[in-house]
Amino acid sequence: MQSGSSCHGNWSLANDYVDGRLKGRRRRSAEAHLTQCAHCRETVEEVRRLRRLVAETPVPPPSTGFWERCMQTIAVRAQSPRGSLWRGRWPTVRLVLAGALVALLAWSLLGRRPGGLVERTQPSEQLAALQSQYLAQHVAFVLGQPLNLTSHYVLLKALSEADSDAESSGEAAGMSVAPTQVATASAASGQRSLSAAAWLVRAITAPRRVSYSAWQQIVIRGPEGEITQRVRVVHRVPDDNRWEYFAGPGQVERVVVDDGQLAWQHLPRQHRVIYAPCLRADPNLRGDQYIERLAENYSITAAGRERIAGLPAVLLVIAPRDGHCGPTQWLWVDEHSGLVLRSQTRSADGHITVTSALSDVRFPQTLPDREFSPPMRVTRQSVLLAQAVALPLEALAREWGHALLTPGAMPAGYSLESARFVRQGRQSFVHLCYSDGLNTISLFETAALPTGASGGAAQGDQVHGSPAIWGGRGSFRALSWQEQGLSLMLVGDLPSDEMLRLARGVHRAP
Amino acid sequence: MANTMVDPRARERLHLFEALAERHRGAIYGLAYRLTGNRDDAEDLVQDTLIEAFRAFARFTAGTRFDRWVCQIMTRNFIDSRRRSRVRRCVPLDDVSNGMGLSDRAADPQAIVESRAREARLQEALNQIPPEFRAAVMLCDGQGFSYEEASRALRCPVGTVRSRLHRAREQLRQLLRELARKDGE
Repeated sequence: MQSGSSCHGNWSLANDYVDGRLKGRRRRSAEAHLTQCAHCRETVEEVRRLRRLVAETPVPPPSTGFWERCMQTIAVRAQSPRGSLWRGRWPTVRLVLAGALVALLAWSLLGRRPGGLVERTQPSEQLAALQSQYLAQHVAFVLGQPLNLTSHYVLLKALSEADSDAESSGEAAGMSVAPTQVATASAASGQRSLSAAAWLVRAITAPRRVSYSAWQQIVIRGPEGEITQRVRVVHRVPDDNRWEYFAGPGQVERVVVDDGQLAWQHLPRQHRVIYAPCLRADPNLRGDQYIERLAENYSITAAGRERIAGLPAVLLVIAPRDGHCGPTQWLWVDEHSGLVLRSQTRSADGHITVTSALSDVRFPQTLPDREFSPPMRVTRQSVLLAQAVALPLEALAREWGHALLTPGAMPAGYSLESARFVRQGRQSFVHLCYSDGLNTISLFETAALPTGASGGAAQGDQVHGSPAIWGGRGSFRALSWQEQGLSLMLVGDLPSDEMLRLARGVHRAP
Repeated sequence: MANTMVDPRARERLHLFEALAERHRGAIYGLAYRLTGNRDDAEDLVQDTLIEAFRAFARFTAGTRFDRWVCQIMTRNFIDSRRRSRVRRCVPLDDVSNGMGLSDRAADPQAIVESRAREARLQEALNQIPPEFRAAVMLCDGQGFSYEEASRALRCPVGTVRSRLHRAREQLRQLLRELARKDGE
């Protein structure tokens, strides 16, 4: 196995050659030599025969019933005190990260656009901006699945391994894995739907495990047209995020950074840095029942595999169960990192309303602090430093000092998730959030604002004698009206008639 | 058997573990047999390994193949136990052919005999090489591990894996030739 003529069938080189350990010039040299040297060809063939012999020779079977006895032993050990090592091994996981990544992006996106809620509202700009922040939060919820998981994490993680195992086996065999194959192992234990949910968990927990940088393109489509935003995203485990918005090639229009508690936004042209609370700082955003509720109302299916941004991805389809009113979401989850590489939200009539896609994804080992530090020598401002507290409905009404209004019959599967009292300077409002585990419907209430303060346009609809004003982005619709001395805004991803029905059902809380 | 467990999550974990182990039982038992060289020791090794694997199931990370993960645990168990005992165990060769190919009644009897003989020779040769060499050749050639994966399983540098593998194959080649000569082939 040498380029010279004095070889003696070099055993080690033959092994390296067969094992694919020779690269480049050495491999070419070896191949050239093999064409001329019968002795070395035989040596190479001998290594191959040995490999085949070891790989292909079957072993005698174990004794009858061995496997069952073995599993029985494990089951017994699993029930013993020593076997129950599971308990307490996994720390409590409170994760609202993935959604918040998109939350700030969506917040920024909504705030930037001419005609967006922030810039359109007069005279109560700050309050409406706060409302838009919450609207963005809803967008984020659908896009990114903010989660607070505790008890289900261990099980779902374990089930996700079954899927990844099935996947990697398929990949090793060079197969395209069909939906049934994706969940093979977990299907064996009768948990196919949870198995796909486990992929979802992997996706939403990925930012806690993986630092990455990428280009992200978000497209929001709605009756008002299409908004496209291309952003450079940098994420550092566990909580640092940076988004760079470009006005043109090489022109950074602004940079948004958050560390999980505080977000700041740098506007280079204005030499300003604006600080704002991070949306995900509210620990009450999600409840532990998230997955259970989601699984009750939506089917979660691993629908196949595709390559997205050059990476192998599992396609998850989260679709409303029969009779349930909610959007459908498709997520492409990177098999290795768990990162959501692409997502699509489809309204009930099948139209794609929001898409988000990563490209040029990289996983750097380290990311410098300067990426997440505000620039020097700029004007610093703080906005939207609102205080938001979660309260029971009765306490919330007392704190607010107004009679609280609540929606009528919510669509099946939705229940009250949080009730918050938000104070912004001298203004305050209430935010009631209802969720089905995936979709959210929010009712905002504040002291009556001048008509039109919440943006949008009247379309002839009325709620309790007040003109109904429609707004929103993509599939998210915002319906505003006034009654009983309050301005109300209902926000959700529901058909118009359902939104109107809910608005007309609003009544004074008992 | 998992149905008797009270904690539903523990039951699910056990269900999952059983399903994965069942799916890869061939690879798991196959490696155990080749490493130990006989059925009784192989069954002991499989059971000890699976118990340990189940205890460590929480550390089983996404993207890892279950069979490779278990094989890694098994190999370490095997090497450690051999280092502790430093006793080369005798392998009853008459045990080796137990059941081999007999279930296939349609198979050519001569092919069965030849297959048994080949298997017996391979196992005898494997039994005669050092456990570390045996593990290297079984992981790389038997289970398809890369050098890097074998390096992690054997807790040694990649260069050592390469060296052990080459020497294991060299010794196997010579031993198989001698055994074939003895058998008159």
